[in-house]
Amino acid sequence: MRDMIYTHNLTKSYQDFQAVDHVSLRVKKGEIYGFLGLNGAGKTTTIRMLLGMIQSTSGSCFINGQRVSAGNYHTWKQVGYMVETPYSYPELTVRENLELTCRLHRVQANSAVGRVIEQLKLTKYEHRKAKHLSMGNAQRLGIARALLHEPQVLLLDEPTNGLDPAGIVEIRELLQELASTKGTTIFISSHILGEISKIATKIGIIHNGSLIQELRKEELEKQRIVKLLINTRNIKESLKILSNKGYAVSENEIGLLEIQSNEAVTYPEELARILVRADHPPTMLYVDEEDLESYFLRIIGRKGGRVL
Amino acid sequence: MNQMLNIIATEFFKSRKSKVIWITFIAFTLLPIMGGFFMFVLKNPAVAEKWGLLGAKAQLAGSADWPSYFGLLAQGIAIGGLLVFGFITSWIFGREYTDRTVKDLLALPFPRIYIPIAKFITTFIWSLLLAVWVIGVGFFVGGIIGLPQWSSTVWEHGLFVLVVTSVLTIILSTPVALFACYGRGYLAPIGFVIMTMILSQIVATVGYGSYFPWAIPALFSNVSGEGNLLKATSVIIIFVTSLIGLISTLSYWRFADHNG
Repeated sequence: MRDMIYTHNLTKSYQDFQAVDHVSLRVKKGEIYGFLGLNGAGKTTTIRMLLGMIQSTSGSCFINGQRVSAGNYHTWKQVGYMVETPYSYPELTVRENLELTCRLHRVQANSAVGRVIEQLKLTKYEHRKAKHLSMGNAQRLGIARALLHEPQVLLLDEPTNGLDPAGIVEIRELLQELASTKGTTIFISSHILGEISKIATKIGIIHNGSLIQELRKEELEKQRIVKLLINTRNIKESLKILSNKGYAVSENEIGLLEIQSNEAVTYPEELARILVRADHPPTMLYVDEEDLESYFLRIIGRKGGRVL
Repeated sequence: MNQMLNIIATEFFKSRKSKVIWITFIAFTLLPIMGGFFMFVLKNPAVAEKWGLLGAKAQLAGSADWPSYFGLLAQGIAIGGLLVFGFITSWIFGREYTDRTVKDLLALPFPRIYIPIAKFITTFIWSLLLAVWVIGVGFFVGGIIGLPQWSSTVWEHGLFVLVVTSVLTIILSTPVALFACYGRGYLAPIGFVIMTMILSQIVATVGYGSYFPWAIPALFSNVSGEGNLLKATSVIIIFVTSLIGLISTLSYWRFADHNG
């Protein structure tokens, strides 16, 4: 499958500040790429370079095989985007804002506007002026604008910002449907890790301008730390007992026993049995699966310096 | 061509839906009305005094006739137009930054400079319509007052001066667009307009007005009382200034980093 988005050593420097540092990534057709990073990590700068809004200091980027540059406007026919918080013309209604975008894209307004209004559940608000929309509905309008011309590539910067939980699920399902049924390639930047883990098929982690890790969703599952935490009345003695049984056990910083072995995590009841027989029954037995947030912080903490 | 017409249509739609353009129309309408009021008072000082329109100690100079009224309107357009046409330009370009909608105009399936070109065309047409409106209201008000010395020579000359003054003032608005884009909003361009108004007064006072672009329309409108002066060099200076504003704004859109 060909790369719909491809960057090679993409770099942006501002005097002595490196906003984006040699970022190389690939997104294939139909993939949902989650671009994770803290605020100021370089996510939006990368998206702006992908859209030709700012020129890279060095490196290059391609969308659908075409090199991105401010002059190569043909690229944008197949690209829908939303950069940072979406803003609309405040004195125009939702429908008028969408019709305006249709004219700029030379899309038949009647069918396209009706379709996205329905897709984004904006029917109730279509005649409401944009300045009177809630933050969530303004966000929906921004996404609707990006979808109007049915683009093959979608670049969305923090698309679920301001949405309520139901809205987040709706947008997630909509994007997943676009990727699976229409083969739309979706590039989403976010700092909401839980959201990215639910939607992305591939994840890139950017920190201090550098892409420090790029992995598929399945690989992420494998790399997340899963450990068994045990508490007993006598931690020192319990540690000795489990060590004698061959388990690589340690006491963590909050005084619990911690075991990362696959066997212990899969069969925690076996350890419970050992401790009960030794007259040190566990008061707590907990399988702790590292969530994406912890994984992310561990990765950037290790590779990007101290974060917390 | 169709694409350009489409973009111009969107610009007009945005302007038409906004109150700002209509407010400038109302504000600039004050010019012929105030001019007409002044002419009325000059023409009928006794009536004006009786109606309380004229203070007891008021000292009025000038004559109440069509040539004077045309002159007054032309001077108003040359000086007030700098502000009003500059404001329209500031708004049409600066609003995209203030409303933060500019980012949605940067990656579209046509050359990026089409947007500022369409904005310049829209600005020019709105400004021209405004000038035509002011001149039209001027003719109407002058007619109502019943100013003397109406003749085809007088109105043809008056109209010529008004139109040329308007066009010269309007085309001087292009650098304002650059300030709106570079300054990302209204503040910088409005500041620039006010600065050009002040400087044009100073430069004209020291006798170099015909070389300072923003003083030239006022000199042509006979603000100095020396006739409708317009040297070839002045015309060239205005066109070069306008061209610099135009090209630098288009270049900004095409080549600058758009971070906001």
